[in-house]
Amino acid sequence: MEILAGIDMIGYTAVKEKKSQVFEELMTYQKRVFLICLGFSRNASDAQDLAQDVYLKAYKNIGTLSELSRAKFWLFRIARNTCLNFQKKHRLDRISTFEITQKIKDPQAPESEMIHQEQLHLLKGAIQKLPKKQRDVFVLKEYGDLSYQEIAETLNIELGTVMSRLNRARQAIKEQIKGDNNV
Amino acid sequence: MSEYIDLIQKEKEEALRDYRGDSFRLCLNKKIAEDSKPSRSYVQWFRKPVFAGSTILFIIFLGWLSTKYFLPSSKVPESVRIKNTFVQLFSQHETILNQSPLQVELDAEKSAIYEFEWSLKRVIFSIQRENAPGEDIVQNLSKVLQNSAVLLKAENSKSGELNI
Repeated sequence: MEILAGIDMIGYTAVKEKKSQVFEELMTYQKRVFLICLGFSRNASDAQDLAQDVYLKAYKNIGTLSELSRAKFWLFRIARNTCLNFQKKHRLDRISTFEITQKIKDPQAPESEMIHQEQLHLLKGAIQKLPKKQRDVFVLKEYGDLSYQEIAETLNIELGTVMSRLNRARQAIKEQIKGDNNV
Repeated sequence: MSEYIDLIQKEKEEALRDYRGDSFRLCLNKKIAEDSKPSRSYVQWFRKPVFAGSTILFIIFLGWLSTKYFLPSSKVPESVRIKNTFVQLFSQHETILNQSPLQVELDAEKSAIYEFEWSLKRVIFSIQRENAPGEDIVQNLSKVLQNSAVLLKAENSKSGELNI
């Protein structure tokens, strides 16, 4: 009985160590996670808070992770869901880039900076206007630098679907920015 | 196409410039530590009502157990009721006998005692068989006893006539 308990304890410790090891491995993706959060949010400060939330959720729920080999995709999925929840909570779809707009109106800022901020504002607005599925693929690709395969694994969709959604998203962004510039 | 890609690239570079990996880890560790320990207010909120609730439930359970095992069952008052009925019955019977002009000497005849006993049993059994709780046992027994008294008197007079 004691031997069994000992084996069980060893097994438990091994699993715990393994999960701790996986979490440490997940920490190596913190910049990617931060950038994904940047893509979904309105500024770097929000992105940093969101990235913290993502890792906190990952830490809490790492016990539910069945396939440790797929932990990376699980983490990206948490990042995407956390950002979407944040957007819902703060209604970023409607008041997307208030802070950027304020910067553009700052008379002390140099002209080049103002132009850059205005373009960024347009880009952020265009991303927010994308349909949800296209936005997910676009942010994961352009901000998170994920490969097509990684995006497919993260969102549980086909590779072809990733490509087509990304293509449509890019077109929509291009048209949106073009249209806004013309206005 | 490259216009917005450059824009995104620039935004990312700027964000990463301000990004501090070490402070990110420190802050995360702090949040994890805070999240791991349960808050005091939560413990207080949780413990008091749970303790009070479980104590009340335990007392209710003990009360239920004691009523089940220590209090007399519903059959006991029934037996008391029957006993009282018989006490009342005999006192009433005695009154009837005293008031009656026909004095019955019960101890004189064995058969009369036997008949008296069976009269009582018949009434009680019939009430039990018919399941009539509303039936007045005292009244019924009184009638039977009166009848038996009359019968005994008649029998006695008959035997007296024969003896003559």
